[in-house]
Amino acid sequence: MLRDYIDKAIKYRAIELAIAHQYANQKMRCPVHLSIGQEYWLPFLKKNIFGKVRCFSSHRSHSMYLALEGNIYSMLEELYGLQTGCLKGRGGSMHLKDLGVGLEASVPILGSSLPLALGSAFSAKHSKQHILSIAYFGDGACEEGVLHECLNYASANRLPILFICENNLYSCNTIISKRQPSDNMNRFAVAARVKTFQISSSDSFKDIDSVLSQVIASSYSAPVFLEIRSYRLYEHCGHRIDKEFGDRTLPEYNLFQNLDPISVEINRNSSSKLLFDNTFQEIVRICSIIEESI
Amino acid sequence: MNNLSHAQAILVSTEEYLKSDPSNVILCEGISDGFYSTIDLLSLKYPDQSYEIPCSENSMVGMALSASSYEVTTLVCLQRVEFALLAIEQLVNNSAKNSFFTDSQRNSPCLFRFVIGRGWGQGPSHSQSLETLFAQIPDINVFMPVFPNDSKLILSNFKSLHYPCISLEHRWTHYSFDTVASMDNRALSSYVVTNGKDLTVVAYSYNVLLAKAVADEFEKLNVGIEVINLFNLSQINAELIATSIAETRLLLILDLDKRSYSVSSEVLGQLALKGLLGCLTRPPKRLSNHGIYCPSSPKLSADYYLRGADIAQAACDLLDLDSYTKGTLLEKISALEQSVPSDVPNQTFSGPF
Repeated sequence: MLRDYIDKAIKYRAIELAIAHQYANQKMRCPVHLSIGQEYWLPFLKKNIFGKVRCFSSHRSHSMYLALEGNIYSMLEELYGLQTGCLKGRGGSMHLKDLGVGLEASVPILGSSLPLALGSAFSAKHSKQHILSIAYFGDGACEEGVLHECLNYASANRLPILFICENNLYSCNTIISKRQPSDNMNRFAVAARVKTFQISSSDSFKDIDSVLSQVIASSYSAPVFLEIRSYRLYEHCGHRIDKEFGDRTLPEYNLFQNLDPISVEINRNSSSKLLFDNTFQEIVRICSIIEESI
Repeated sequence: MNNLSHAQAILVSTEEYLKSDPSNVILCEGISDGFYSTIDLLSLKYPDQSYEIPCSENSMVGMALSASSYEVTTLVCLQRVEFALLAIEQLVNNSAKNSFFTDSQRNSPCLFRFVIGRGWGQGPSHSQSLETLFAQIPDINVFMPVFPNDSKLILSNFKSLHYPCISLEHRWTHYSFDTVASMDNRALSSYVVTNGKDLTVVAYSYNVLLAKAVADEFEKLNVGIEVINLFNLSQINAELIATSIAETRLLLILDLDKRSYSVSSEVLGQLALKGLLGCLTRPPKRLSNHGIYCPSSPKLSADYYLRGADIAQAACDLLDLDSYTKGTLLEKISALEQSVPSDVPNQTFSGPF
């Protein structure tokens, strides 16, 4: 059973890498913020959600779209700006949404979508609806005051909301040590008396599953803050690997690349490799067809 | 015509809003203080629908915008317009954008009441109106109520609108009473407050009350000033103004905030683009306050604000009235204005807010 979810993570990696591969063709004419290196936890989110969910993402929105199992074809079509895309070409990569699966909004102004998640939680609580609201953002959003406003209100009013902070250590090309006095994002939630959890790419899939199960179960009665420790293996925005760009160093990059659980899984398991290759080829094939049509 | 003041009418309409549906909620900084007597005791009568909010304007405005897309309808009150500046990020980035992205599957029928301060030393940070700042945001309805029926219309209709609404409420309009014109069957649109055939004055918010007082004095000398209340800044009714100036052939516009990049600029622009200014026999005039920021002291702020006498002077110039009539009018209007201290709306007001 756990295997099924690891396979999903491998598929998500293949999809993102295929998008990076096609992006070089300059036919996806919108900025794309890929999450390559950060996908290891995604399948375990939906696995542990039982009931209605409303998610609000920032610009790195492919992750949540994939995690909630939004329609892949509609997503690809949106990246190409087609009328058949999930936003009819109005939003592109940075605004992905699929109301059918609960991705309500993606706002590329870092913390800007946090109040939207708060509003969803407020509405659910007032109307006594069993709905989980999720705010999904990165370490950069923690540098904006609105996070503190939202944590404060959610805590004081015990709103059913889950704050998921994916800490990939970088804001664009700037390392966190230049931006914050600590790389621990949970400290903001602690200050607001919000319950915290943390997972990292070095945790086992089983442990990640277990933590997410606890996180989601707790989020229906009071706010919860989950910090996801991760590392982005591709550039901030675009399709290239940026091993030594900005504040990155090669030793640091190599360290995290070796820790990447999806690469480890693909390299050690032939069936995982086959799954990866097949998914990658399929997405490339679909993209190629779209590219020929535009 | 009812005899409720503007503040009382807001209270009654807000209670109707809360009473009509348990999913209608109100959020306010200092909710139990009554918000200038406009929501007195409602938090006690409707505790399950009344929410105190912290001094977190950006997240609270965003929360209300978003919540209104789901199970609830939201009404938010902020004590002064300037606090809403902390929420410009949410208003610009998220106001009606979700509606745009979802083909109206996620609308935001919410109302924000932002109060414009005046008098009693409000100073430069509690007296701005900034209406064009909000009116520039796409798909937000910006209203500037003057009379009780204006706010009644806003409160009873905003839930049916797709887009968020802002009511910029001038504190000194809370003491106004309806006129026959403001009670007529009306839409959420500009309307004529007083009829006149000699001069058209286009105004909004508190300046409508000033213009009406001036028009009443001119009327006594058989000079007709037509006062138009723009009311809805998001949909200026250029045709109404055009109809008026086609008859009066003279136009004076009163800005509450400033003159450049202002409401008067928009009005004149719309009329010019439609070729509707050709009927004027003199170039139009526009007036606003006499400075950039309102100083705090009563003396300095009296010099800063637009006065009825300023409007009368401009009207006399446009109408080319004889010096005797002009002198009589200016003397009368100045005397009326000086009968009440310049830093309070009326004799019964007691500070600070």
